[in-house]
Amino acid sequence: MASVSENSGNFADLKVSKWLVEALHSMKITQPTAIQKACIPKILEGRDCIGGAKTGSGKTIAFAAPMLTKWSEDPSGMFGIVLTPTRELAMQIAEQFTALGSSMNIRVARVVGGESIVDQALELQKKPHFIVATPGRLAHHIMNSGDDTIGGLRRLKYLVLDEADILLTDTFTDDLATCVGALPPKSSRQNLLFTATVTDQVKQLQHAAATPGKPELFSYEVEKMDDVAIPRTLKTTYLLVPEQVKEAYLYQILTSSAYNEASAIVFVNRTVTAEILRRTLKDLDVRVASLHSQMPQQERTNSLHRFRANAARVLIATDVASRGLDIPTVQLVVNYDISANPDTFIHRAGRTARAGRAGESICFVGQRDVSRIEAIEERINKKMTLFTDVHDTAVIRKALNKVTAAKRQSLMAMEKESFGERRKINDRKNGKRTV
Amino acid sequence: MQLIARKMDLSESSNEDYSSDEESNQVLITSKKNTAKDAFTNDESDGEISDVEEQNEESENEPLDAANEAHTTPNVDQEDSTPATTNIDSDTLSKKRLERLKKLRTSQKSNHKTGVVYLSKIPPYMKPAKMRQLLSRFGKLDRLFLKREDDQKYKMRIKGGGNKKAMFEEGWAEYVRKKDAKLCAGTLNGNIIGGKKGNFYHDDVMNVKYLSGFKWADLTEQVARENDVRQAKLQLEVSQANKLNSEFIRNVERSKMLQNIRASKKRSAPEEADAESEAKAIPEFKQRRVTTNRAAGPEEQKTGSSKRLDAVLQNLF
Repeated sequence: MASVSENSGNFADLKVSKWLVEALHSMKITQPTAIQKACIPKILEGRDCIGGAKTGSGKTIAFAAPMLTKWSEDPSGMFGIVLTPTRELAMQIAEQFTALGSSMNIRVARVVGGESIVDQALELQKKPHFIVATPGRLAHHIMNSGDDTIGGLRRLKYLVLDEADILLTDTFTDDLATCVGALPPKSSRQNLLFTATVTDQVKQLQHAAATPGKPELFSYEVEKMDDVAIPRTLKTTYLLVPEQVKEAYLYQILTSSAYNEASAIVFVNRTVTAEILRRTLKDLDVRVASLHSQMPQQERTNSLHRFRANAARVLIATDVASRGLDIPTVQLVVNYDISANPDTFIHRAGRTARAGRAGESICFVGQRDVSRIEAIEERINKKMTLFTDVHDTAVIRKALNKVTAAKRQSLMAMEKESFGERRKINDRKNGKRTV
Repeated sequence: MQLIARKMDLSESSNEDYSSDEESNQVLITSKKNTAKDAFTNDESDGEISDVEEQNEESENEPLDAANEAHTTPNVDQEDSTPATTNIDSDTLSKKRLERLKKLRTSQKSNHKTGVVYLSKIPPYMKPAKMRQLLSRFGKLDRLFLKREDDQKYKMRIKGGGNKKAMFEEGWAEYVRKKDAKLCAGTLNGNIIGGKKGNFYHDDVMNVKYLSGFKWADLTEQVARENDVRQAKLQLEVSQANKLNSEFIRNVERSKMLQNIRASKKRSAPEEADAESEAKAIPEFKQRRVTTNRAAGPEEQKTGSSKRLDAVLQNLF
């Protein structure tokens, strides 16, 4: 997670507890990264903090270390809470907390959707020291559980918002409001916020009037955040493809001699597309797994494990996988659909070319995606080159008919199994507009 | 009806219980083929076999289990006594017999005589083999289908400390003769299974209903029809897709040709070609929306934040 920074220094100098320094050492983390160096002392001073950092820059330690240090001085139940946008990210963070605090008998509760509500409620009743949660499930507990379950939340000392730029959007507003409502007032807790993008909301928070009786807000590198570009080792290419034959091109690329061994992530915009692609490629004997929000949590976890263990070579994912996932072996990222937000491209492409390795990102550009590509090029300040490894003739000869037949078949199968029906019903129940 | 069809669909996967049963059936059937005496029943059972294989469902199609033989009607006994003798001259007669069988198979005369009973409750953990034995007391039993409880229910049962044996929920049985089916329903319905006092199933109450005017085919009809429709639809869609594909191929070829023409023009008269290519505007497609939530991003691409979000922000810092 943490890369070695240029200046030497160690965690002990940052006034991190001795036991924690040892725990970090045992995880082979000896030198603090820039963000850790800057944030840890300030957080220990008791100041609120807004940190600008991409995932993988060591920010988990940046908020975990000071929280754990403070906690070990007075190990009480329900000490801090971390909110993340995705379940997988919550798992990753919870694992880190558990690993770091194992010598101190830390109890970390993971409160995420898709798992047993009852088990989680029982765990919350035991007053865990730290809670790593997704807002929706936590809100559910707050609304539906008794005081013995969530009463401890009122004594929390730390609130962490990870990937705050996503958390502070309309998607999470209601749940977030519920969650924050159950916490102590903002003056008596310490707020830490980490984001990869400076949004209007983050700015608003940054310039918010200081709460009386509280030290001043500390913000780290927030202004410089927009300069982050893609890694230099990343090759960015694009490919002009008509919408209706995208599948054939994808199949041809994945089976071409250059990539038929590579492990790849294919990003799509919708869960339906992900499901179609997974079935189609599976029919065509590609080892494939998928990760999207309309899968049962068990399957999501399994897919991710399969992909990590290289049992699946290709992962078809929506943007739930675009942030935070750290899989070092990924060589290729295919942007099967182009996202509306250019920053999402940076996150997606960030799944490959990690820690100085080489990587490649291919964008499929349909007739209607040109302006999105232009926006991305402007954002990353780099022109993409044309992808030339796969020719039209090869696609026509080898893939086209095979893939379209497989696609139709998977469409029929999905219709039979009424894919997406459950979500529609749920949306109707919750009075949401069905798209 | 749809419910039934779906249930049968669901239980397709759980076949393992029957494998041994089917094997023994195969053996019996081959021996039976050689007996041309009662060609009528022969024909029927053959038809069933193909039926069952097609639908791949867990119906047992032969009443002549080793265990059953003792209980079967004299008619069947007669059948079984002959194979040894007929085996000898079977080669010479086989062709003739096959033809006869085919004829009979098409005629399907027996079909209107069969009777179907519905079992709304299967005694706990009773397996199809036992059920077959039980029902065969009333006459020659043909196909039997028991619906296994669904996986979720099974798991919950195990979780609650239940028995790990397979449980069946309901079932259908087909008698070769209608009157046997009626007799079965009349005798068994609402009564305990009985038999020896110590039997495991002695005290279980059976629930049997004779389905009048109902044939086995009615059970499978809907599934078969849906399959047909699906297949036809798939074929149609694939042919449509192929049309689109050929259009795409044509376009690719055309673009190649145009490129070549442009290249050769450029070679002969560079300035003219440039002007022409500039004049020919690329067709405009309506572009997808670009959004951003970066503070530094262009204002028109931003999605406005709601008031509720602002309220949350007030409470945060």
